[in-house]
Amino acid sequence: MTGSYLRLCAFMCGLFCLPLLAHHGTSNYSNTAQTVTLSGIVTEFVWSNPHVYVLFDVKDATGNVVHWAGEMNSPGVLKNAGWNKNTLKAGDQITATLRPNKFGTPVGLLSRANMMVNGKPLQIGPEQ
Amino acid sequence: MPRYILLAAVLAFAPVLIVQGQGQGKGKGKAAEPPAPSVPHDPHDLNGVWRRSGGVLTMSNETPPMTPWAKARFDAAKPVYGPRAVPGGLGNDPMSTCDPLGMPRNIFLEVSIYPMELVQTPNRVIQFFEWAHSYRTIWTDGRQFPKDPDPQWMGYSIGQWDGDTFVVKSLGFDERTWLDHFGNPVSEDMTLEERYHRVDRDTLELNMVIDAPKAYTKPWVSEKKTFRLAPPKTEIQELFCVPSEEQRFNQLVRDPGSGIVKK
Repeated sequence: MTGSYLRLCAFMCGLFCLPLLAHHGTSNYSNTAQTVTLSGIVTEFVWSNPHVYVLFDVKDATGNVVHWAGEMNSPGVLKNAGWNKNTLKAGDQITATLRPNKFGTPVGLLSRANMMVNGKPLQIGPEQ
Repeated sequence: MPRYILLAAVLAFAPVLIVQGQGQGKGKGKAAEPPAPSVPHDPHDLNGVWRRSGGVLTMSNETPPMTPWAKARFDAAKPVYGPRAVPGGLGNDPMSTCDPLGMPRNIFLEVSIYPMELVQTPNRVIQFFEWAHSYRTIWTDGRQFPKDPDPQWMGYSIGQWDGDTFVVKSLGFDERTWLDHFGNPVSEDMTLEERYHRVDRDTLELNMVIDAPKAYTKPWVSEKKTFRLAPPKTEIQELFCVPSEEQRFNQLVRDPGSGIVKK
């Protein structure tokens, strides 16, 4: 089910994603106008160099759990935006917007804008 | 495309997948920089943390003609940036395995995210790059270049003042580096000239020329690179590229995000 869901997701993305030149090593991902908003439970917030990322579980339309990964920038960039290693923790309920990748796997480029954590807006710095 | 298929697909995604027209990306949404204040400055004082303010991520958009040697290397390079970009997990950018960027690529890295710091001492200038927490030494004590230098990622650099312009000449580069994010090659015979000019307190301009006959049939003149002085308390962050952490990132994020799913 997960596989068919992801293939369908890729199919939909193929319909609507416009090609755009990547310029931050984000060639895996759809263009900036194509995003998905997901809600799920954080399983690990990885504060590592040179990439921070969030691993979280999302239930799909049929209740199956999909393990998502959300790529972020470096710890230094996040620190300048007000984040730290404790900003997210396992068990947090998050709602976040991501640029999905072009291959239909559950990996995306996670936006810090408009993030919700445990039902509250995360307002600790601008998108960069 | 039958409309019912589209409708069914949209309905299937509705609970968890909301397609939005909202953009996300580094460098977006930045306010216009204020004009530089008219305050006194010492043009020979380059100390400070500097951030690039826009520009292309290479010398210029006018790549000189390549030699056959360089063209072969360029064709073998699989960048994850620019018009030839391949998915991250399928590229061979040395940066993806935390190899040093070298020069002049350190100058090009990102725009306004990863800054550099210049520290002047009596006999050298240290140029510190946030990316990979790396630095280079620019000698200003009057020494000469070593004869037949061993290749180095950053090259060997000597600086001197030409009026109010700090001129840095470098040679002895390692051909394993890429010149930029796009896979343009570096050759061992490359010389790099950088001309730094602090035009006002908050603005540092840089013009560069590379001459690499083994790779390019004529010198490559850069567009003008402009840096803005960061606030005095700005700290360079510890942004090491840690191979073990990058390896885990590749396994959990980059490879699956590139369609590479290992059983």
